[in-house]
Amino acid sequence: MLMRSVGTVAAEEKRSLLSALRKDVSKNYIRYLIILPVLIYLLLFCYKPMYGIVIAFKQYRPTRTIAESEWVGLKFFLQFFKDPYFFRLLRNTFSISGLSILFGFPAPILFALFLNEISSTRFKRAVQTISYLPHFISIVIVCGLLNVYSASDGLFNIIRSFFGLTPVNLLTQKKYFYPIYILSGIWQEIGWSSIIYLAAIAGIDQEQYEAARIDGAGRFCQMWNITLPSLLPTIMTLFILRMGNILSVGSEKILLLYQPTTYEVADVINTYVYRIGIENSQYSFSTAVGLFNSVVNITFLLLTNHLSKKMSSTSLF
Amino acid sequence: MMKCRHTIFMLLAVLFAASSFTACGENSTSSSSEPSMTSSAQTETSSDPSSAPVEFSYPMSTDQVLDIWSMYYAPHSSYTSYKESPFHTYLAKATGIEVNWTFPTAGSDGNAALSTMLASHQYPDVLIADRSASATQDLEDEVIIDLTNLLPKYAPNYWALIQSDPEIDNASKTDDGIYYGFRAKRESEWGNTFIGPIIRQDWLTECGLEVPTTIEGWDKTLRTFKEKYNATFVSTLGRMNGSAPAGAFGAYGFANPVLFLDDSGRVQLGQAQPEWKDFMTQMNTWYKDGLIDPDMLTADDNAVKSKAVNQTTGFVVLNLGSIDSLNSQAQDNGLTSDWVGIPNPVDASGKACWTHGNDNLVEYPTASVCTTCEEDKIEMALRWCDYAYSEEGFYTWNFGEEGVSYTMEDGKPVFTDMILNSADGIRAALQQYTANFGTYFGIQSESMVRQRNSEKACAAVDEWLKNSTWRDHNLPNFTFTTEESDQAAALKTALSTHISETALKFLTGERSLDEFDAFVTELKSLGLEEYCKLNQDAVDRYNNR
Repeated sequence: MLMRSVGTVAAEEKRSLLSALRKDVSKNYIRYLIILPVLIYLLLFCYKPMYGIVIAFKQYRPTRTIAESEWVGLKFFLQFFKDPYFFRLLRNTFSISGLSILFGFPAPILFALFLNEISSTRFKRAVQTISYLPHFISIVIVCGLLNVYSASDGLFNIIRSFFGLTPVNLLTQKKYFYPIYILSGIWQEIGWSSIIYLAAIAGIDQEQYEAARIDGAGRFCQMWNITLPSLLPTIMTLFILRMGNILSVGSEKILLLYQPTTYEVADVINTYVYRIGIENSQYSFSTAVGLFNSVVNITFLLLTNHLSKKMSSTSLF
Repeated sequence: MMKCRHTIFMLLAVLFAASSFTACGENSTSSSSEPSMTSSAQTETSSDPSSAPVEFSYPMSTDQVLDIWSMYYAPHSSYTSYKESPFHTYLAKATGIEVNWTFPTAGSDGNAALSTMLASHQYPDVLIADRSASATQDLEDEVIIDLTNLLPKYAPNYWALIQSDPEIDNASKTDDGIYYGFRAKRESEWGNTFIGPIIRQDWLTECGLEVPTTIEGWDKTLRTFKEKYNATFVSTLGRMNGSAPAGAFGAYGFANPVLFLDDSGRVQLGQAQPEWKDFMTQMNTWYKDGLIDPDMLTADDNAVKSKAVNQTTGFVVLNLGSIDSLNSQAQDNGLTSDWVGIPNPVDASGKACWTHGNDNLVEYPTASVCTTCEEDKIEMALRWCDYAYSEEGFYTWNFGEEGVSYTMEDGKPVFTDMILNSADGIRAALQQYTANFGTYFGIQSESMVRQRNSEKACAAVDEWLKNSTWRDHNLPNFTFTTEESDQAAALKTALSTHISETALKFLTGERSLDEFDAFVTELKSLGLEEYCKLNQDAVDRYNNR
């Protein structure tokens, strides 16, 4: 956004931006007051600790201060890149994240669209409330349930036995890991994630639908031509933000679900770092990997934003 | 208006991105605050050249308060603070030293609390934690002080113990020979043995089987149980790692890497030995024949216990506490199950095997005196630690207060009814009146462990201790240098990932054991030799202390 090559233009722009901001503040000071607490929060808890990132380049240990710690440069980054499992971890991270986006991202959109088509308000509310509920269950409990259900004498296997399948412990099988991980994720989050889409749908001008109905558009036609296009900016914004978390897969859930037999598909960057870190307090190494994750994440965020701007004219900035 | 909203949104988006950027720095948040107190290095020894013991008896008369930060020995949850806890108040009375205890918040991660405390650079007078591996760094960073000249003077009991016991002597000093802390120790191997095979004696009797002591015996028992009760063998990956039936093959470890000292004292990896291949071949056969429950790959202790109640297993490897809970669970469910411990199996020649109870007799709790301890409190700090090693202190830490929680019968401490038949259960009672029932300080008494466990559980330990040679093969409590520990952590994670994965593939038959040699080659390419060498060097340094 600040890519102006001519300095004077930039300076002018800056001056005008500042004066515009000043004018805006005096006009809308209440709104600025409202965002102030969040701004302070972000400065205190997100910007101030950023200083701590330097320990990724230092041999840090808690008994020394950050300043006292010895500078080791890219040692921990190289250690990570040279790790024999680096490529497998990267592949798994992208696979799990990619599949989650592929299946998990459209699910709440579809859910919101269908929910919108239900005319009985009471039924709609009931469905909505029930679908929210799993969101409030702790991930530890969800994984505990999955563990019990997947055991060779568990619920899933009882269902499987109706189809004449022999019981196996599903969580020890590589091929079942992704389905279990992604489907349970959709089950847990579909209702909660659909709220924002439902809110956006509620904001669509009803006159458009009336006009469409007069023109003879059916329900599906209305959904396709009015609801979906109106949702597009929301969808794109959330998609860009989701892409900004591409390497931040739900590692707690993976930690609770994976087994040595499924490491091959389930071991991701964060779980591997956890295993290195838990043995020894390897703060510097963990920070280096965290920094790497953030850089990849922000690259994806910017890339998606750029593409989205080009293709659908929706963008964060 | 539109433009304004756009600006704010943009700003927020940038902030959002930035906040995700720092997520990795969370651990360092606490450490980024400036140290408020710079610790002054104390030259504690120069003040008094003589290090001869001083005439002394407990209780010590002092009006100063000792600050102790301790990872362990928190008061029982029924008390709001240590000031109400019978053990902590009696300890203060007996030593004459009032202590201001700090424990990590109940339920929180003790290691995280320790790191936060260390990073704040506000140390207590005495630190009790699992810091032996970083003792050298802690001395270097002026967190703790050198006790070499202070021990003979102010800690005569501990000093005497060090003189008579090379294991605790080596464990109390760094590679450079500096004494840095008081180490805790178990009185005997008996108290250190708590994992082993457990079987349903009633089924054995019903089938007319002998207690299995060899692999053939195990095979016969497993097949009979399968045939007669459709029951399988089950355990957890963790419990299986150090115990039966690997020992019968002369093998070490299961799905987690195990380092051991071979007969010539070299550090070796259990999973890279031909004996381990034989062991896994047997396990694979049992697995294929449906004698091992496939849920073993995901089971925890509770899952195993619920299988026991459902009678889908009659043969498990679990820990000592499980024997009582298996039996009481069976009783509650109206079953006739009679779970007993049996010895670890031996090979055909009857040779004793390596079975792994736990680590060494000297365990992780370490009490060190911090650099922030003022000069005039140093004696008090050492006296307090040394008390646990005196005869009186041994009783206090293990049995509580005489006449209240224990009485002396024929010169031996015996718990009173108040402990043994407590309404809250013996564990809760021990937690209120004593400290050494779990993680211990000073010396953990074998007699205490025997009294707190049921007869059946004690009998199981007697069985498990048979045929055990672990002391000759266990690695000592060595320490890595900073450089080594970074390297070792990375190597160990890569190796253990591959070992866990492949061990289970060998077990289930997903990978054939014919590829065992290829597996060893893969381990070598992951740095097996470097990893063994790092450990070997550290062990050698330890032995030369």
